[in-house]
Amino acid sequence: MTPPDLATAVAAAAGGAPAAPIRAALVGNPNSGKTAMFNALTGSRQKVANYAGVTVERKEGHLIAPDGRRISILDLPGTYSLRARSPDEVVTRDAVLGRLAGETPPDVVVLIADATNLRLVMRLALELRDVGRPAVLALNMIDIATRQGLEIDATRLAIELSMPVVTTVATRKRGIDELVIQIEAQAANSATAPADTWTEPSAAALRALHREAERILKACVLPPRRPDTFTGKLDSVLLHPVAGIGVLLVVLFLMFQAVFAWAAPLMDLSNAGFEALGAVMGNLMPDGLLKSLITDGIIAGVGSVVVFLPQIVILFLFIILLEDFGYMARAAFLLDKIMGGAGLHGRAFIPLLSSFACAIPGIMATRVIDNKRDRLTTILVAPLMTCSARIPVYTLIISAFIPRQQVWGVLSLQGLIFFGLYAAGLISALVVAWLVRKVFWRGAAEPFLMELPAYKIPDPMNVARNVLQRAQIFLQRAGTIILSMMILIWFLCTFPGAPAGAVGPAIDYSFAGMIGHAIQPVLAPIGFNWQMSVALIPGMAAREVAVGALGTVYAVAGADTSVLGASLAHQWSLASALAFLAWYVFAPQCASTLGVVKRETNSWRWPIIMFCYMTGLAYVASLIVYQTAVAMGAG
Amino acid sequence: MLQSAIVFAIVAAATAYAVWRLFLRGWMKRRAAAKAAGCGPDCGCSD
Repeated sequence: MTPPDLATAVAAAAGGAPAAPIRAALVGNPNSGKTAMFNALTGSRQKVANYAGVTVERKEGHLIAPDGRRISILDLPGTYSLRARSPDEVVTRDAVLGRLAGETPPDVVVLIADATNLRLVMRLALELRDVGRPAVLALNMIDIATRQGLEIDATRLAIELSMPVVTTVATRKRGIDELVIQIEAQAANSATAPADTWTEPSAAALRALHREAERILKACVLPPRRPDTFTGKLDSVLLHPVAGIGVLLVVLFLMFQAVFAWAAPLMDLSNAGFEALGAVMGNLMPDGLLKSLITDGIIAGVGSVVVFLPQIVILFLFIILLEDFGYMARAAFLLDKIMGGAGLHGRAFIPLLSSFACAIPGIMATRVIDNKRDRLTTILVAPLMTCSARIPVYTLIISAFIPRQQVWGVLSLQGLIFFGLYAAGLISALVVAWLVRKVFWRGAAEPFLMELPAYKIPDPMNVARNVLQRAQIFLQRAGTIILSMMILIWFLCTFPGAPAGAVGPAIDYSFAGMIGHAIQPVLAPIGFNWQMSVALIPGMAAREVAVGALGTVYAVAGADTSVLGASLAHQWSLASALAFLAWYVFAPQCASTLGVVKRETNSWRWPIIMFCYMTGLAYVASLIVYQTAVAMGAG
Repeated sequence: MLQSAIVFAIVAAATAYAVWRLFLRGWMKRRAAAKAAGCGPDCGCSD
């Protein structure tokens, strides 16, 4: 029975009214397992990954203790000390000390420590001891520490730190019952806790704190008799300046090859499914507006987006496996020199990595960067990373225009182009960051220290949960915003009908036709026809909507869109298709991203700058690609 | 006639949903968060 289940059962059996709720805050170093603990305690499914900085804002959940008492749990961003430097660390410090507006301090502070590396948490533990609020120390990942041969004297540690110590394995929900009991016991002391008098320590006080930490560690932790050589051996290859980069390129390359090779049968299957559904609905319904809306608008539009689910699942399966294994932080270490050369702060790796899923959490993750200029630079380039919403666009165009052939007998040409588009996004982000630092914000880059996480066998449940979450997000978008946009696009493509005596196709006289024809002259130099032009507008709601919009536009026009790619291959030139890809590498086709930039910078200035530079970049890149392709005979 | 009425109702609902989702939802969330924090939307504390 899980703790919340157990608690509910006991509370029900007791039949009494529960006491006042307890507020507990989870604090600890980055990557010590706070979010895994939060999930284990509350039954939530917040994102957990094996690298530092995953949590950038406070999250709250709750559980019912065995005696029926409600405990609300606050998950806070990781920090090494109460002496906060970055915005996320300030949130943690203020929450712990009760300095957040409208909030009282937590009744209990739960300090989550990585048991394999207690040295890192000692300073924070001593600071919390001095603050004097009730606290519990959870020695998390104790299974790995035991396997490594570390011996920790928990009783002595509890005496030294003046707080109870429990051992836990959050990912396997071990030690959670004992932790809940200790939280309740400590909460009883909350009323008598001293008021907040914490101030920034002086240099002498910091040195004293470090000496005290060293003394406690020597007294309580016995290092392993046989030191761990596995991590060292693996790191000597994976972090090697030449071999490491080679491994990274091979890993990325295999990932993009797999996206195309493995997804193809599943994609064909779902294509056939939507085709059959369209045919069935077409046969069942009488001709008319409703039939057109269902088959041309909803099935052709939404279906053309949903078929890309296999690609998204496979790509995220790879990314999540690499994260959980502990490889992503190593990749950051390898790329740090290149990123630093471009003027990006080492901590920019986390936001940029998050942006491969979606730029919105990526931009929010820039809160881990303390320097305002470094943070703004990262915000400005984060949307250039290839987010998952671009995958349907890239896959559609590549499948339609790039032949399924092998290069050098082993590599798929389609996978190679896909890899190239990801590389184009990354390289352009580095170039833009370099330009921003050179032109606007000259100055030396700040030093960056990064903690490399231990290698771990990925937890199958965590991997499955995260992959399902990505699939769910994608399908949720397809069923909500994409569906609504498809209905609107169908309306714009269908009304007003062609006038009497019209000679061209009816869609030419529709609102969509009018809008497309009005914009098209501006986009003609980059090879866009009016259908492509009109698809860009709903594409501002979400990038993948453009694929659905093309499906609907061509379906209403009477083209066979059962396989949209084949239809596009007949209607577009190769030069136009390549220009469309170039546009999507750079264009700011996402209103939500611009909105979050406004929120994070508290100004309209930066989203406007972002929109202008990305649109300019997209236009120039598409122009160069289109005109070059035409000159080479692909027009 | 009935078919046209159903189609226009669906289009109107989709439009209302898109407007809410794209323009109003985020603003309402931020406003609620600012109210809960005890300050107005323009106080700058969201930074």
